[in-house]
Amino acid sequence: MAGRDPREAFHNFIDPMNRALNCVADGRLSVSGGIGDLATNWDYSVTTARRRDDPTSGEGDPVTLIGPSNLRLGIRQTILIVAAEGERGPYKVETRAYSYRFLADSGEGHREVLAFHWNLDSVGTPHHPHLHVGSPVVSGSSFYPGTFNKLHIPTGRLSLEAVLMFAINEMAVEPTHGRARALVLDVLREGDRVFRQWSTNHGDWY
Amino acid sequence: MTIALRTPPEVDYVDATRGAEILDRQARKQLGISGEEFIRRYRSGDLADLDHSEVFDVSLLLPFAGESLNGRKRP
Repeated sequence: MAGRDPREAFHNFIDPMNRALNCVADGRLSVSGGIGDLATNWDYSVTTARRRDDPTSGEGDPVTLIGPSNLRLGIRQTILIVAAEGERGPYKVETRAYSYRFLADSGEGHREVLAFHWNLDSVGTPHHPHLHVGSPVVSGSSFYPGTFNKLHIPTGRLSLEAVLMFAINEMAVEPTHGRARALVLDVLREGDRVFRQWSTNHGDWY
Repeated sequence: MTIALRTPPEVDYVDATRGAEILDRQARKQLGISGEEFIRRYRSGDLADLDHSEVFDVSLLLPFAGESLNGRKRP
């Protein structure tokens, strides 16, 4: 998303994501650095904030999703504020990497079952956005035994909103605070549409 | 299209001191090493013995500790 200055570009980017998260989890986002000290071409990190109603929680802990599967969702992004030209400027925010992880209770604590990864600047690992299927899902399978969870299954580059829509539509996750499902999906769909309208970098494949 | 929703809580902006604590907490929780150890090993490329998915996930928190994920210099 664009802005007249770094701060506006930053807010135009982060506020919709924060709203999207709050649709499905009782939480908010945490961002590295102060809002008054935003620099261009420097990494900023985004993750989930500590829950104010849970003193044992900390920043970066996965949030709890409502639904029968007792899922948790870990959210990470690394972003840059950059100068841009035309309607995408004079400043815009670029996502450089993300990690969206679903964790399920395996009986021995929550373990990763799905992980959506992307790092535009990766060295030594695939550049393309990809999915890992966690070992709790595939253990015992004779197909790529012991290594299936390490495969980098190609996906498109995903918005947080797309991941949340997947959780609601296919993993029975429910909106928070009794919000209407259709209303929340409209919000997420709009956020994903804006993401796809403004996103540029998609990285090279392999 | 205007969609009415409850106003979400504001984004939390984290200073450098808390930021280092965040990286340390998650590095210990996910990988069993301190944040400082993670930074040292990440910079030297010495993380091959740790679970790849968890390493990547923790690495995205490096900017909280004032470190670049991909070698950029602070402007």
